Amino acid sequence: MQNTKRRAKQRIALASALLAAATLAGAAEAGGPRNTDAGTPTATVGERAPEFALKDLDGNVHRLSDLTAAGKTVVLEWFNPNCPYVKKHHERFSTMNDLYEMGKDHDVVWLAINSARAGHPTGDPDLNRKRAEQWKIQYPILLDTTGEVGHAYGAKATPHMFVIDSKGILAYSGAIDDDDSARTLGTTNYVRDALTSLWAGETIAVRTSRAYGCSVKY
Amino acid sequence: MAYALAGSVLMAITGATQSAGAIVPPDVGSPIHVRARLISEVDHLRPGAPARIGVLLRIDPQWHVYWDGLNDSGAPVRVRLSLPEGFKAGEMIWPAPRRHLDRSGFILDHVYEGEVTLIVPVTPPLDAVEGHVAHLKASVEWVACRDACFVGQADLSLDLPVSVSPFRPTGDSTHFERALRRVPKAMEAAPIPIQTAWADGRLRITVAGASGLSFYPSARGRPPSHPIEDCQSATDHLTIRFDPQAVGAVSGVVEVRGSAHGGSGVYRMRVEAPGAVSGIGSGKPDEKAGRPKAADNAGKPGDQ
Repeated sequence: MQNTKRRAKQRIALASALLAAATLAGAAEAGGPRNTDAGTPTATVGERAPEFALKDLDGNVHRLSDLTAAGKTVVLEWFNPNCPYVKKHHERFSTMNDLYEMGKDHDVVWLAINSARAGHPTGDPDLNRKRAEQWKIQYPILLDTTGEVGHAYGAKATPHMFVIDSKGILAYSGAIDDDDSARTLGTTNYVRDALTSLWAGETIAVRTSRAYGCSVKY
Repeated sequence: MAYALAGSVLMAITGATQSAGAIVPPDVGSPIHVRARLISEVDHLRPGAPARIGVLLRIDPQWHVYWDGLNDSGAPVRVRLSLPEGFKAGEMIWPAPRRHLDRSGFILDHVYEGEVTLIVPVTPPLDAVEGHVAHLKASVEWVACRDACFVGQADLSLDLPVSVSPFRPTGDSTHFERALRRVPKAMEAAPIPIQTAWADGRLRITVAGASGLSFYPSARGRPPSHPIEDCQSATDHLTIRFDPQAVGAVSGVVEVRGSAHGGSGVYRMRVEAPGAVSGIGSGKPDEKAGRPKAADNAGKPGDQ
Protein backbone atom coordinates (compact mmCIF):
# COMPACT_ATOMS: atom_id res chain seq x y z
CA MET A 1 0.00 0.00 0.00
CA GLN A 2 2.67 2.42 1.12
CA ASN A 3 4.73 1.40 -1.88
CA THR A 4 1.92 1.89 -4.32
CA LYS A 5 1.28 5.36 -2.98
CA ARG A 6 4.91 6.28 -3.23
CA ARG A 7 5.07 5.02 -6.79
CA ALA A 8 1.98 6.98 -7.72
CA LYS A 9 3.57 10.09 -6.25
CA GLN A 10 6.75 9.47 -8.21
CA ARG A 11 4.73 9.10 -11.36
CA ILE A 12 3.02 12.40 -10.76
CA ALA A 13 6.36 14.08 -10.11
CA LEU A 14 7.78 12.61 -13.29
CA ALA A 15 4.73 13.61 -15.29
CA SER A 16 5.01 17.21 -14.10
CA ALA A 17 8.69 17.24 -14.92
CA LEU A 18 7.91 15.99 -18.40
CA LEU A 19 5.14 18.51 -18.84
CA ALA A 20 7.55 21.28 -17.87
CA ALA A 21 10.09 19.83 -20.25
CA ALA A 22 7.59 19.69 -23.07
CA THR A 23 6.57 23.30 -22.48
CA LEU A 24 10.19 24.38 -22.46
CA ALA A 25 10.94 22.45 -25.61
CA GLY A 26 7.91 23.97 -27.28
CA ALA A 27 9.02 27.45 -26.34
CA ALA A 28 12.52 26.82 -27.58
CA GLU A 29 11.27 25.58 -30.90
CA ALA A 30 8.69 28.25 -31.60
CA GLY A 31 9.38 30.38 -34.62
CA GLY A 32 11.09 27.86 -36.83
CA PRO A 33 9.18 26.28 -39.67
CA ARG A 34 8.71 22.66 -38.77
CA ASN A 35 6.62 19.70 -39.50
CA THR A 36 4.70 18.43 -36.52
CA ASP A 37 2.88 15.47 -38.00
CA ALA A 38 2.60 12.37 -35.88
CA GLY A 39 5.66 10.22 -36.21
CA THR A 40 7.99 13.09 -36.94
CA PRO A 41 10.62 13.45 -34.27
CA THR A 42 11.08 16.96 -33.01
CA ALA A 43 14.82 16.63 -32.60
CA THR A 44 16.69 17.98 -35.60
CA VAL A 45 20.43 18.17 -35.95
CA GLY A 46 21.53 21.80 -35.94
CA GLU A 47 18.56 22.86 -33.83
CA ARG A 48 17.94 23.01 -30.09
CA ALA A 49 17.78 19.56 -28.54
CA PRO A 50 14.46 18.78 -26.83
CA GLU A 51 14.52 19.47 -23.09
CA PHE A 52 14.06 16.55 -20.74
CA ALA A 53 14.07 15.77 -17.07
CA LEU A 54 14.33 12.09 -16.24
CA LYS A 55 15.14 10.10 -13.14
CA ASP A 56 17.97 7.62 -13.05
CA LEU A 57 17.89 4.25 -11.26
CA ASP A 58 18.72 5.97 -7.96
CA GLY A 59 15.95 8.53 -8.31
CA ASN A 60 18.19 11.48 -9.23
CA VAL A 61 16.72 13.84 -11.80
CA HIS A 62 18.82 14.77 -14.82
CA ARG A 63 17.66 17.86 -16.67
CA LEU A 64 19.22 18.75 -20.00
CA SER A 65 19.01 22.51 -19.50
CA ASP A 66 20.85 22.21 -16.15
CA LEU A 67 23.66 20.35 -17.89
CA THR A 68 24.04 22.69 -20.84
CA ALA A 69 23.75 25.72 -18.51
CA ALA A 70 26.79 24.28 -16.74
CA GLY A 71 28.63 24.14 -20.06
CA LYS A 72 28.42 20.39 -20.47
CA THR A 73 28.37 18.51 -23.72
CA VAL A 74 25.79 15.74 -23.43
CA VAL A 75 25.80 12.30 -25.03
CA LEU A 76 22.58 10.27 -24.98
CA GLU A 77 22.77 6.52 -25.51
CA TRP A 78 19.44 4.75 -25.99
CA PHE A 79 19.75 1.62 -23.92
CA ASN A 80 18.28 -1.86 -23.56
CA PRO A 81 20.05 -4.24 -21.17
CA ASN A 82 19.19 -7.33 -23.24
CA CYS A 83 19.69 -6.12 -26.80
CA PRO A 84 22.50 -7.93 -28.67
CA TYR A 85 23.61 -4.67 -30.30
CA VAL A 86 23.88 -2.97 -26.91
CA LYS A 87 25.81 -6.00 -25.74
CA LYS A 88 28.13 -5.59 -28.71
CA HIS A 89 29.26 -2.22 -27.37
CA HIS A 90 29.18 -3.10 -23.66
CA GLU A 91 30.15 -6.75 -23.50
CA ARG A 92 31.96 -7.81 -26.67
CA PHE A 93 33.66 -4.41 -26.92
CA SER A 94 33.87 -1.55 -24.45
CA THR A 95 32.94 1.11 -26.99
CA MET A 96 30.69 3.10 -24.68
CA ASN A 97 32.81 2.93 -21.56
CA ASP A 98 35.94 3.90 -23.51
CA LEU A 99 34.25 6.93 -25.03
CA TYR A 100 32.76 7.89 -21.68
CA GLU A 101 36.26 7.84 -20.17
CA MET A 102 37.57 9.94 -23.03
CA GLY A 103 34.75 12.45 -22.60
CA LYS A 104 35.21 12.90 -18.86
CA ASP A 105 38.23 15.13 -19.45
CA HIS A 106 36.23 17.32 -21.82
CA ASP A 107 33.15 18.16 -19.73
CA VAL A 108 31.03 15.50 -21.39
CA VAL A 109 28.04 14.12 -19.49
CA TRP A 110 27.03 10.68 -20.75
CA LEU A 111 23.50 9.46 -20.09
CA ALA A 112 21.93 6.16 -21.01
CA ILE A 113 18.17 6.32 -21.57
CA ASN A 114 15.89 3.30 -21.45
CA SER A 115 12.52 4.02 -23.05
CA ALA A 116 11.01 0.56 -22.52
CA ARG A 117 7.32 0.86 -21.73
CA ALA A 118 6.06 0.24 -18.22
CA GLY A 119 6.05 -3.48 -17.46
CA HIS A 120 8.42 -4.45 -20.26
CA PRO A 121 11.08 -6.82 -18.89
CA THR A 122 13.96 -4.72 -20.28
CA GLY A 123 12.74 -1.69 -18.34
CA ASP A 124 13.03 -3.47 -15.01
CA PRO A 125 15.24 -1.30 -12.77
CA ASP A 126 16.88 -4.34 -11.17
CA LEU A 127 17.90 -5.77 -14.52
CA ASN A 128 19.28 -2.38 -15.56
CA ARG A 129 21.17 -2.10 -12.27
CA LYS A 130 22.56 -5.58 -12.73
CA ARG A 131 23.81 -4.77 -16.23
CA ALA A 132 25.31 -1.47 -15.10
CA GLU A 133 27.32 -3.40 -12.54
CA GLN A 134 28.19 -6.27 -14.88
CA TRP A 135 29.31 -3.93 -17.67
CA LYS A 136 30.98 -1.44 -15.26
CA ILE A 137 28.87 1.42 -16.57
CA GLN A 138 29.93 4.54 -14.68
CA TYR A 139 27.17 6.81 -15.95
CA PRO A 140 23.47 6.99 -15.04
CA ILE A 141 20.74 4.99 -16.76
CA LEU A 142 17.57 7.10 -17.01
CA LEU A 143 14.13 5.55 -17.24
CA ASP A 144 11.74 7.01 -19.81
CA THR A 145 8.80 4.68 -19.18
CA THR A 146 6.29 6.88 -21.00
CA GLY A 147 8.57 7.04 -24.06
CA GLU A 148 8.04 10.79 -24.31
CA VAL A 149 11.70 11.65 -24.39
CA GLY A 150 12.41 8.86 -26.84
CA HIS A 151 9.68 10.16 -29.13
CA ALA A 152 10.90 13.74 -28.81
CA TYR A 153 14.35 12.65 -29.95
CA GLY A 154 13.11 10.17 -32.52
CA ALA A 155 15.03 7.37 -30.84
CA LYS A 156 14.18 4.20 -32.76
CA ALA A 157 16.87 1.68 -31.97
CA THR A 158 19.24 0.63 -29.25
CA PRO A 159 21.86 1.92 -29.29
CA HIS A 160 20.66 5.17 -30.91
CA MET A 161 23.14 7.96 -30.12
CA PHE A 162 22.72 11.73 -29.77
CA VAL A 163 25.39 14.35 -29.12
CA ILE A 164 24.26 17.72 -27.77
CA ASP A 165 26.80 20.55 -27.71
CA SER A 166 27.32 22.81 -24.70
CA LYS A 167 24.92 25.38 -26.18
CA GLY A 168 22.15 22.79 -26.21
CA ILE A 169 22.20 22.30 -29.98
CA LEU A 170 21.82 18.78 -31.32
CA ALA A 171 25.12 18.07 -33.05
CA TYR A 172 24.82 14.39 -33.99
CA SER A 173 22.07 11.78 -34.28
CA GLY A 174 22.45 8.19 -35.38
CA ALA A 175 24.46 5.01 -35.00
CA ILE A 176 27.50 4.61 -32.78
CA ASP A 177 29.57 3.24 -35.67
CA ASP A 178 29.43 2.12 -39.28
CA ASP A 179 29.12 -1.64 -38.75
CA ASP A 180 25.62 -3.00 -38.25
CA SER A 181 26.86 -6.48 -37.37
CA ALA A 182 26.30 -7.60 -33.79
CA ARG A 183 29.81 -9.08 -33.78
CA THR A 184 32.26 -6.68 -35.35
CA LEU A 185 33.25 -3.07 -34.73
CA GLY A 186 33.02 -0.45 -37.41
CA THR A 187 36.00 1.42 -38.79
CA THR A 188 34.35 4.78 -38.06
CA ASN A 189 32.91 5.68 -34.67
CA TYR A 190 30.56 8.56 -35.43
CA VAL A 191 30.17 9.66 -31.81
CA ARG A 192 33.91 9.79 -31.20
CA ASP A 193 34.34 11.75 -34.43
CA ALA A 194 31.55 14.17 -33.49
CA LEU A 195 33.01 14.76 -30.01
CA THR A 196 36.54 15.19 -31.34
CA SER A 197 35.31 17.73 -33.87
CA LEU A 198 33.38 19.65 -31.19
CA TRP A 199 36.48 19.81 -28.97
CA ALA A 200 38.60 21.03 -31.88
CA GLY A 201 36.00 23.61 -32.86
CA GLU A 202 35.68 21.94 -36.25
CA THR A 203 32.67 21.06 -38.33
CA ILE A 204 31.33 17.56 -37.70
CA ALA A 205 31.77 15.54 -40.88
CA VAL A 206 28.90 13.09 -40.33
CA ARG A 207 26.05 14.76 -38.42
CA THR A 208 23.40 12.09 -39.02
CA SER A 209 23.45 8.40 -39.74
CA ARG A 210 20.97 5.59 -39.50
CA ALA A 211 20.95 3.81 -36.18
CA TYR A 212 20.97 0.02 -36.16
CA GLY A 213 19.95 -2.34 -33.38
CA CYS A 214 16.85 -3.49 -31.55
CA SER A 215 13.71 -1.42 -31.84
CA VAL A 216 13.05 0.71 -28.77
CA LYS A 217 10.37 -1.07 -26.74
CA TYR A 218 7.77 1.69 -26.65
CA MET B 1 40.90 -13.46 -49.53
CA ALA B 2 37.52 -12.30 -48.41
CA TYR B 3 36.44 -8.80 -49.27
CA ALA B 4 33.34 -6.88 -48.52
CA LEU B 5 30.89 -5.98 -51.22
CA ALA B 6 28.66 -3.20 -50.17
CA GLY B 7 25.23 -4.17 -49.04
CA SER B 8 24.81 -7.40 -50.86
CA VAL B 9 26.93 -10.45 -51.20
CA LEU B 10 30.19 -10.74 -49.42
CA MET B 11 32.18 -13.10 -51.47
CA ALA B 12 35.39 -14.97 -51.14
CA ILE B 13 37.14 -17.14 -53.63
CA THR B 14 38.85 -20.15 -52.18
CA GLY B 15 40.67 -23.04 -53.67
CA ALA B 16 38.33 -25.67 -52.26
CA THR B 17 36.56 -27.52 -55.04
CA GLN B 18 36.70 -31.17 -54.21
CA SER B 19 34.28 -32.70 -51.84
CA ALA B 20 31.90 -35.61 -51.63
CA GLY B 21 28.50 -35.16 -53.16
CA ALA B 22 25.76 -34.89 -50.54
CA ILE B 23 23.23 -32.55 -52.12
CA VAL B 24 20.76 -31.58 -49.42
CA PRO B 25 22.34 -30.54 -46.14
CA PRO B 26 20.06 -30.09 -43.13
CA ASP B 27 19.04 -26.71 -41.76
CA VAL B 28 21.74 -25.44 -39.47
CA GLY B 29 22.57 -22.40 -37.40
CA SER B 30 21.15 -20.76 -34.40
CA PRO B 31 17.99 -22.67 -33.53
CA ILE B 32 16.42 -19.51 -32.18
CA HIS B 33 13.48 -18.45 -34.35
CA VAL B 34 15.24 -18.85 -37.71
CA ARG B 35 16.55 -21.90 -39.56
CA ALA B 36 18.93 -21.39 -42.45
CA ARG B 37 19.94 -23.54 -45.41
CA LEU B 38 21.96 -22.99 -48.57
CA ILE B 39 19.89 -24.26 -51.50
CA SER B 40 20.14 -24.62 -55.27
CA GLU B 41 17.40 -24.24 -57.86
CA VAL B 42 18.99 -26.89 -60.12
CA ASP B 43 20.61 -30.23 -59.46
CA HIS B 44 24.12 -29.42 -60.74
CA LEU B 45 26.28 -26.67 -62.15
CA ARG B 46 27.33 -26.32 -65.79
CA PRO B 47 30.62 -24.77 -66.89
CA GLY B 48 30.06 -21.13 -67.87
CA ALA B 49 26.29 -21.26 -67.21
CA PRO B 50 24.70 -19.11 -64.52
CA ALA B 51 22.58 -20.95 -61.96
CA ARG B 52 20.74 -19.70 -58.90
CA ILE B 53 21.64 -20.64 -55.39
CA GLY B 54 19.95 -19.12 -52.38
CA VAL B 55 20.04 -18.65 -48.66
CA LEU B 56 16.72 -19.96 -47.37
CA LEU B 57 15.66 -18.55 -44.03
CA ARG B 58 12.64 -20.08 -42.35
CA ILE B 59 11.34 -17.78 -39.70
CA ASP B 60 9.07 -18.64 -36.79
CA PRO B 61 5.53 -17.21 -36.89
CA GLN B 62 5.37 -13.60 -35.64
CA TRP B 63 9.13 -13.14 -35.96
CA HIS B 64 10.91 -11.27 -38.73
CA VAL B 65 14.32 -10.60 -40.23
CA TYR B 66 15.35 -7.41 -42.01
CA TRP B 67 15.42 -6.27 -45.64
CA ASP B 68 18.35 -4.37 -47.02
CA GLY B 69 16.47 -1.08 -47.36
CA LEU B 70 15.42 1.83 -45.19
CA ASN B 71 14.69 0.64 -41.67
CA ASP B 72 14.34 2.42 -38.35
CA SER B 73 15.83 -0.51 -36.47
CA GLY B 74 17.28 -3.97 -36.97
CA ALA B 75 20.05 -4.79 -39.41
CA PRO B 76 19.82 -6.46 -42.82
CA VAL B 77 20.61 -10.14 -43.26
CA ARG B 78 24.29 -10.54 -44.15
CA VAL B 79 25.56 -13.20 -46.48
CA ARG B 80 29.21 -13.91 -47.06
CA LEU B 81 29.78 -16.43 -49.83
CA SER B 82 32.84 -18.59 -50.32
CA LEU B 83 33.03 -20.11 -53.78
CA PRO B 84 35.57 -22.36 -55.47
CA GLU B 85 38.29 -20.64 -57.47
CA GLY B 86 37.08 -19.26 -60.78
CA PHE B 87 33.41 -19.27 -59.78
CA LYS B 88 31.65 -15.93 -60.07
CA ALA B 89 28.77 -14.68 -57.97
CA GLY B 90 26.35 -12.00 -59.14
CA GLU B 91 24.77 -9.42 -56.87
CA MET B 92 22.41 -10.82 -54.27
CA ILE B 93 18.73 -10.51 -55.19
CA TRP B 94 16.43 -9.39 -52.37
CA PRO B 95 12.72 -10.12 -52.67
CA ALA B 96 10.42 -7.22 -51.81
CA PRO B 97 9.81 -6.91 -48.07
CA ARG B 98 6.69 -6.22 -46.02
CA ARG B 99 6.18 -3.13 -43.92
CA HIS B 100 6.35 -3.66 -40.19
CA LEU B 101 5.20 -1.05 -37.71
CA ASP B 102 5.96 -1.58 -34.04
CA ARG B 103 3.07 -1.72 -31.59
CA SER B 104 3.46 1.98 -30.78
CA GLY B 105 3.23 2.96 -34.44
CA PHE B 106 6.50 4.89 -34.18
CA ILE B 107 9.09 2.50 -35.64
CA LEU B 108 8.86 1.43 -39.29
CA ASP B 109 10.89 -1.45 -40.64
CA HIS B 110 10.84 -3.49 -43.84
CA VAL B 111 11.05 -7.16 -43.08
CA TYR B 112 10.58 -10.75 -44.13
CA GLU B 113 8.22 -13.08 -42.31
CA GLY B 114 7.61 -16.79 -42.71
CA GLU B 115 10.31 -17.60 -45.21
CA VAL B 116 12.64 -15.77 -47.52
CA THR B 117 15.18 -16.93 -50.08
CA LEU B 118 17.99 -14.49 -50.84
CA ILE B 119 19.12 -15.44 -54.32
CA VAL B 120 22.63 -15.31 -55.75
CA PRO B 121 23.43 -16.17 -59.37
CA VAL B 122 26.57 -18.30 -59.52
CA THR B 123 28.57 -19.07 -62.65
CA PRO B 124 31.27 -21.75 -62.72
CA PRO B 125 34.29 -21.12 -64.94
CA LEU B 126 34.23 -22.47 -68.49
CA ASP B 127 37.00 -24.90 -67.59
CA ALA B 128 35.18 -26.37 -64.58
CA VAL B 129 35.74 -30.11 -64.81
CA GLU B 130 32.87 -32.53 -65.40
CA GLY B 131 32.47 -34.84 -62.45
CA HIS B 132 34.00 -32.49 -59.90
CA VAL B 133 31.92 -31.44 -56.95
CA ALA B 134 31.78 -27.74 -56.19
CA HIS B 135 31.79 -26.93 -52.50
CA LEU B 136 29.82 -23.71 -51.94
CA LYS B 137 29.77 -21.99 -48.57
CA ALA B 138 27.86 -19.12 -47.05
CA SER B 139 28.26 -17.48 -43.69
CA VAL B 140 25.01 -15.80 -42.69
CA GLU B 141 24.15 -13.39 -39.90
CA TRP B 142 20.69 -12.07 -39.12
CA VAL B 143 18.76 -10.46 -36.35
CA ALA B 144 15.33 -11.94 -35.70
CA CYS B 145 12.86 -9.82 -33.75
CA ARG B 146 9.34 -10.02 -32.51
CA ASP B 147 9.36 -7.70 -29.56
CA ALA B 148 12.70 -9.02 -28.38
CA CYS B 149 15.60 -9.49 -30.78
CA PHE B 150 18.06 -12.36 -31.17
CA VAL B 151 21.10 -12.40 -33.37
CA GLY B 152 21.64 -15.62 -35.27
CA GLN B 153 24.55 -16.90 -37.29
CA ALA B 154 25.06 -19.95 -39.48
CA ASP B 155 27.88 -21.36 -41.59
CA LEU B 156 26.16 -23.10 -44.46
CA SER B 157 27.48 -25.28 -47.25
CA LEU B 158 26.21 -26.99 -50.36
CA ASP B 159 27.91 -29.47 -52.67
CA LEU B 160 26.91 -29.45 -56.32
CA PRO B 161 28.40 -31.67 -59.01
CA VAL B 162 29.70 -30.09 -62.21
CA SER B 163 28.17 -31.58 -65.35
CA VAL B 164 27.28 -30.56 -68.89
CA SER B 165 23.96 -32.41 -68.80
CA PRO B 166 20.66 -30.45 -68.83
CA PHE B 167 19.55 -28.80 -65.59
CA ARG B 168 16.84 -30.44 -63.52
CA PRO B 169 14.99 -28.63 -60.76
CA THR B 170 15.73 -29.68 -57.20
CA GLY B 171 13.14 -30.20 -54.52
CA ASP B 172 14.04 -26.69 -53.36
CA SER B 173 13.06 -25.02 -56.63
CA THR B 174 9.68 -24.11 -55.13
CA HIS B 175 11.49 -21.83 -52.65
CA PHE B 176 12.98 -20.00 -55.63
CA GLU B 177 9.61 -19.74 -57.37
CA ARG B 178 8.11 -18.26 -54.25
CA ALA B 179 10.96 -15.77 -53.84
CA LEU B 180 11.06 -14.81 -57.53
CA ARG B 181 7.40 -13.82 -57.43
CA ARG B 182 8.46 -11.05 -55.04
CA VAL B 183 11.68 -10.01 -56.76
CA PRO B 184 11.10 -6.49 -58.09
CA LYS B 185 10.93 -6.11 -61.86
CA ALA B 186 11.90 -3.08 -63.92
CA MET B 187 9.33 -0.30 -63.65
CA GLU B 188 8.75 -0.47 -67.41
CA ALA B 189 7.49 -4.03 -66.99
CA ALA B 190 4.41 -2.88 -65.07
CA PRO B 191 1.27 -3.68 -67.10
CA ILE B 192 -0.31 -0.42 -65.98
CA PRO B 193 2.27 2.41 -66.10
CA ILE B 194 3.68 3.64 -62.79
CA GLN B 195 3.50 7.39 -63.17
CA THR B 196 5.65 9.72 -61.10
CA ALA B 197 5.46 13.49 -60.82
CA TRP B 198 6.94 16.12 -58.51
CA ALA B 199 4.88 18.94 -57.06
CA ASP B 200 5.87 21.23 -54.18
CA GLY B 201 8.75 18.97 -53.20
CA ARG B 202 6.45 15.97 -53.00
CA LEU B 203 6.61 12.92 -55.19
CA ARG B 204 3.31 11.60 -56.42
CA ILE B 205 3.20 8.00 -57.61
CA THR B 206 0.08 6.97 -59.47
CA VAL B 207 -1.00 3.62 -60.90
CA ALA B 208 -4.41 3.97 -62.52
CA GLY B 209 -6.94 1.54 -61.09
CA ALA B 210 -4.70 0.12 -58.38
CA SER B 211 -6.44 -0.80 -55.15
CA GLY B 212 -3.36 -0.01 -53.07
CA LEU B 213 0.28 1.04 -53.29
CA SER B 214 3.33 0.72 -51.07
CA PHE B 215 6.75 2.25 -51.45
CA TYR B 216 9.68 0.54 -49.77
CA PRO B 217 12.55 3.04 -49.80
CA SER B 218 16.08 1.87 -50.51
CA ALA B 219 18.70 2.59 -47.88
CA ARG B 220 20.69 4.78 -50.26
CA GLY B 221 18.03 6.88 -51.91
CA ARG B 222 16.53 10.15 -50.70
CA PRO B 223 14.67 9.18 -47.52
CA PRO B 224 11.00 10.11 -47.23
CA SER B 225 10.42 12.41 -44.26
CA HIS B 226 7.14 10.72 -43.25
CA PRO B 227 7.43 7.10 -44.40
CA ILE B 228 4.91 5.78 -41.89
CA GLU B 229 2.16 8.07 -43.15
CA ASP B 230 3.13 8.55 -46.79
CA CYS B 231 4.48 5.26 -48.13
CA GLN B 232 1.39 3.09 -48.04
CA SER B 233 -2.12 3.75 -49.22
CA ALA B 234 -5.33 1.94 -50.12
CA THR B 235 -5.82 4.18 -53.15
CA ASP B 236 -4.24 4.38 -56.60
CA HIS B 237 -1.64 6.94 -55.54
CA LEU B 238 0.98 7.88 -52.97
CA THR B 239 2.13 11.40 -52.14
CA ILE B 240 5.54 11.26 -50.50
CA ARG B 241 7.11 14.13 -48.59
CA PHE B 242 10.84 14.76 -48.19
CA ASP B 243 12.96 17.05 -46.09
CA PRO B 244 13.81 20.15 -48.12
CA GLN B 245 17.52 19.54 -47.45
CA ALA B 246 17.44 15.93 -48.64
CA VAL B 247 19.34 15.21 -51.83
CA GLY B 248 19.67 12.46 -54.41
CA ALA B 249 17.30 10.34 -56.42
CA VAL B 250 14.34 8.63 -54.82
CA SER B 251 14.82 4.91 -55.10
CA GLY B 252 13.18 1.81 -53.80
CA VAL B 253 10.49 -0.71 -54.59
CA VAL B 254 6.87 0.02 -55.48
CA GLU B 255 4.32 -2.64 -54.69
CA VAL B 256 1.10 -2.40 -56.68
CA ARG B 257 -1.95 -4.14 -55.32
CA GLY B 258 -4.10 -5.09 -58.19
CA SER B 259 -7.24 -3.77 -59.64
CA ALA B 260 -10.09 -5.75 -61.12
CA HIS B 261 -7.88 -5.98 -64.22
CA GLY B 262 -4.98 -7.55 -62.35
CA GLY B 263 -1.67 -5.73 -62.27
CA SER B 264 -0.33 -6.72 -58.86
CA GLY B 265 3.42 -6.76 -58.67
CA VAL B 266 6.61 -5.30 -57.27
CA TYR B 267 8.79 -2.94 -59.30
CA ARG B 268 12.11 -1.15 -58.90
CA MET B 269 11.67 2.60 -58.93
CA ARG B 270 14.20 5.35 -59.29
CA VAL B 271 13.10 8.94 -59.75
CA GLU B 272 15.50 11.85 -60.09
CA ALA B 273 14.78 14.97 -58.12
CA PRO B 274 13.29 17.95 -59.93
CA GLY B 275 16.05 19.97 -61.51
CA ALA B 276 18.24 16.92 -61.93
CA VAL B 277 19.40 15.94 -65.40
CA SER B 278 16.42 13.75 -66.19
CA GLY B 279 13.00 14.48 -64.78
CA ILE B 280 11.75 10.97 -64.41
CA GLY B 281 13.78 7.84 -64.35
CA SER B 282 13.44 4.23 -63.54
CA GLY B 283 15.47 1.12 -63.40
CA LYS B 284 18.21 0.02 -61.11
CA PRO B 285 18.00 0.72 -57.43
CA ASP B 286 20.86 2.72 -56.00
CA GLU B 287 24.23 1.13 -55.65
CA LYS B 288 24.49 -0.12 -52.14
CA ALA B 289 27.86 1.40 -51.46
CA GLY B 290 29.44 1.56 -48.08
CA ARG B 291 27.73 -1.29 -46.33
CA PRO B 292 29.81 -2.14 -43.31
CA LYS B 293 32.16 -5.06 -43.50
CA ALA B 294 31.01 -8.52 -42.55
CA ALA B 295 31.91 -10.64 -39.64
CA ASP B 296 33.46 -14.03 -39.89
CA ASN B 297 33.87 -14.67 -36.22
CA ALA B 298 30.86 -16.45 -34.89
CA GLY B 299 29.47 -15.51 -31.53
CA LYS B 300 26.67 -16.48 -29.28
CA PRO B 301 23.23 -15.32 -30.27
CA GLY B 302 21.91 -12.44 -28.25
CA ASP B 303 18.89 -12.68 -26.13
CA GLN B 304 16.33 -10.37 -24.88
